[in-house]
Amino acid sequence: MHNNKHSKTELSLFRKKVSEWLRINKPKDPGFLLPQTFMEIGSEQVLNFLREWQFKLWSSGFLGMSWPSEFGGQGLPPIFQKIADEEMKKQKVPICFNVIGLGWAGPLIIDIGTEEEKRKYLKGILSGDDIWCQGFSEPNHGSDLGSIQTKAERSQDSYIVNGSKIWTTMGNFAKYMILLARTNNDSDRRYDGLSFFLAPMKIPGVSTSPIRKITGDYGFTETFFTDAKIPASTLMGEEGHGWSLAMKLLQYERGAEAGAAGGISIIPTTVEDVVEVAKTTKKDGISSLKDPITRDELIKLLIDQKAIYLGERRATFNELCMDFPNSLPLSSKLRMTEFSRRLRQYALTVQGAAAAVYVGDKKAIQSGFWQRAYLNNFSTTIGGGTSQIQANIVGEHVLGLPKD
Amino acid sequence: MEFNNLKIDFTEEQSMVNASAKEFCADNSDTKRARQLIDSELGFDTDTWDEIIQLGWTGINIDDQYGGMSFGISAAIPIVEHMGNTMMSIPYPSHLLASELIGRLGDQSQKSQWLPPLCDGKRGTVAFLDNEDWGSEPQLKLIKKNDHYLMTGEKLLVSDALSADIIIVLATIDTHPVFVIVESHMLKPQDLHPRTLIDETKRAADISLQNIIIEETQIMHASHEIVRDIKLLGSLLMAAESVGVISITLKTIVDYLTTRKQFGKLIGSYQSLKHPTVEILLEMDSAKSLVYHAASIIESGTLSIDSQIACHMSKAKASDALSFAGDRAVQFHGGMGFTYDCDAMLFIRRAQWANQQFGDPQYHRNQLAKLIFD
Repeated sequence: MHNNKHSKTELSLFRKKVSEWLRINKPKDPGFLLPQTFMEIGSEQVLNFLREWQFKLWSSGFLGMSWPSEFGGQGLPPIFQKIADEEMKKQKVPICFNVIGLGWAGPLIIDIGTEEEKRKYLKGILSGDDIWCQGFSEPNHGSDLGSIQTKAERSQDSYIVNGSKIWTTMGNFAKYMILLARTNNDSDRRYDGLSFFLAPMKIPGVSTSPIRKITGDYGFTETFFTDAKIPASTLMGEEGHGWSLAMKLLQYERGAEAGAAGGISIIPTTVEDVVEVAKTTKKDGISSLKDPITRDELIKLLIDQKAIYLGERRATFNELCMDFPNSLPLSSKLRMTEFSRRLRQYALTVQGAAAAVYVGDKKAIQSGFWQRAYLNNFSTTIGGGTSQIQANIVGEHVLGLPKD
Repeated sequence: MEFNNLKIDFTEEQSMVNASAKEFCADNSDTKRARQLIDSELGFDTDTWDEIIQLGWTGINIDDQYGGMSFGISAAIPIVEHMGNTMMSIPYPSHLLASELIGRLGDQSQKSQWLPPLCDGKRGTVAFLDNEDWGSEPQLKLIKKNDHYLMTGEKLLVSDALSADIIIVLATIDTHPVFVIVESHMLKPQDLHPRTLIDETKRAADISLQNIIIEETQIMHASHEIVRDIKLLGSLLMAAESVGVISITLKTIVDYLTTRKQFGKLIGSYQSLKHPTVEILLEMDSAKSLVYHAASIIESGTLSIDSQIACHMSKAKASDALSFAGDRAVQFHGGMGFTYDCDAMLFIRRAQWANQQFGDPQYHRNQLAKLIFD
């Protein structure tokens, strides 16, 4: 439906407009360190700042542009949002924090939701009034969703939910949760008994307990359900089809074309950023960028960074991937998250003695951004399957090595 | 510091060449054949060379007006990779570099004189080294004598010198770099001193030059840029071959890890072996992406900054990856790995040879640092 032709001039005018708007409206340094991902929102102060920013973006017409106009969007072709997102990335503005709503729940509701659901949920997602969280992972099961134990039992026009979820990002702030729970214990295949709900959080029987992270911040909760009664109407799709809906969510993440509302959800770190740090520090009396060892380390990182970008491109040519098919896509998470860990650690090494301080220290380089970024990076090398599990997957599925 | 060139193309020519190279190399080489050729003088099978001529690959990079295929040297990258992947030992990379050099630098009459025979299968190589430093400026001098020049001195570790018909010698006239085209019959057999290489499948010799008479027609006047570019293209060919060698090394490791049992289990099930093996795969993938990126952007004229960066990165990554792969191949084969009969021997020796060729990874990273930070 979004196949209207928009002239190049129209698009470049739009790009100019976004770019100018962002330049003028980009928030000033709030005096505290802003998060790089939505998993790092540990205080009301940070939350309110990001909420205000998202509201401003949306009310000025730069968020949810391709969502239906009757539900808070503008019904424009996704290319406009894509351009807006590119400009946001370029100008390194703060993230749009309501990620689960913007990128997962919203697109799913637009896809398969009823008119009533669209009316009820979509606008609040965009404005930031209604915060969404995700309830998939459970204690003791890591990211193995097939082992989900949280139960939802049908009782007349409700489901009674019992169990607990872990690593719930913004669980303490959220109004709604996309919840994956077991509605049938008897099915043969363990994925078949799962159902998908748009569950309310602010009801009796739902409680959260904050998890303090390695960084000292909060951001995640453990979420407990004790005979929590949720309306049967919050079931999405059919009972027992939760797994396929959960899989469907993953594709929305790919951006506006795939249905996401837009806005940047992550502020990436690059070698170029670390080079900027190195420009300001010294090694052995000379600029770090003149120090042979520092140069060598930075170049190694640059080579690996470039190889990551190029790998995505090479993966589109079958003939260049015939030796070990699927190697590039299956190793992508391992490669990127481990690279980022090395990079962020090295950003500390180039700081010299300044590497020793942390967020809160008045003289910390970039307010301690890199110290926190390094520690936070472990959420990516651990979450979603640890690097060690990833290496097993690559070894077994690409190289055909035996399971242990 | 802006270098966001992330282009990878795979042209129809490359695709065609890739398919036939895969088949050709698989038919004509494997580690067993490579071992047999260790004892031969020239280190390769001339019948295989003849087939390469038939396929047109001796002139793949040369303009059709001189009898070549006009595909550009990028089209040869898959061939060289497959040669690595089958441990085919043949002076093809040396030959490509020699013909590429004349194609880039020669004048009309030099091209007309030398390119057709090279396309037809006369073998070429380039003599770079005056000492063991790949980064040093050329030193060998040409001294003017009446209407010609005299060349006296020594070139070191010239790849495939013994089997080459045409040796292009990097030298200087009054400190200006020149490439001198020398036909092998102008040298006496005793001027060539074969070296004993760590990689027994490769061949190289030192060349003593005693008052060799050089006519102006043999001289290609060079610049710093073309010397740099031809070494970079050599680095890229070396990186492509190394990617192929890593691939066969990895397959050899996987074969062993999926058949050898210890303590009642296949050793590939142990994560201490499994994870480094995955690391080899990831590093090979990185190297391969960089190599095909470089192959997609190298120019037929002076190499752009992007292309220089791509070639340096390719060689740095491929050599490091191959060194790691060869090293682990020996270790993971246990006692077998310590024997001459184990193919890991071929790979670890190749890795040490390839590592220094056209400069080691540290050298290339140092060049990158100069290009990017200074």
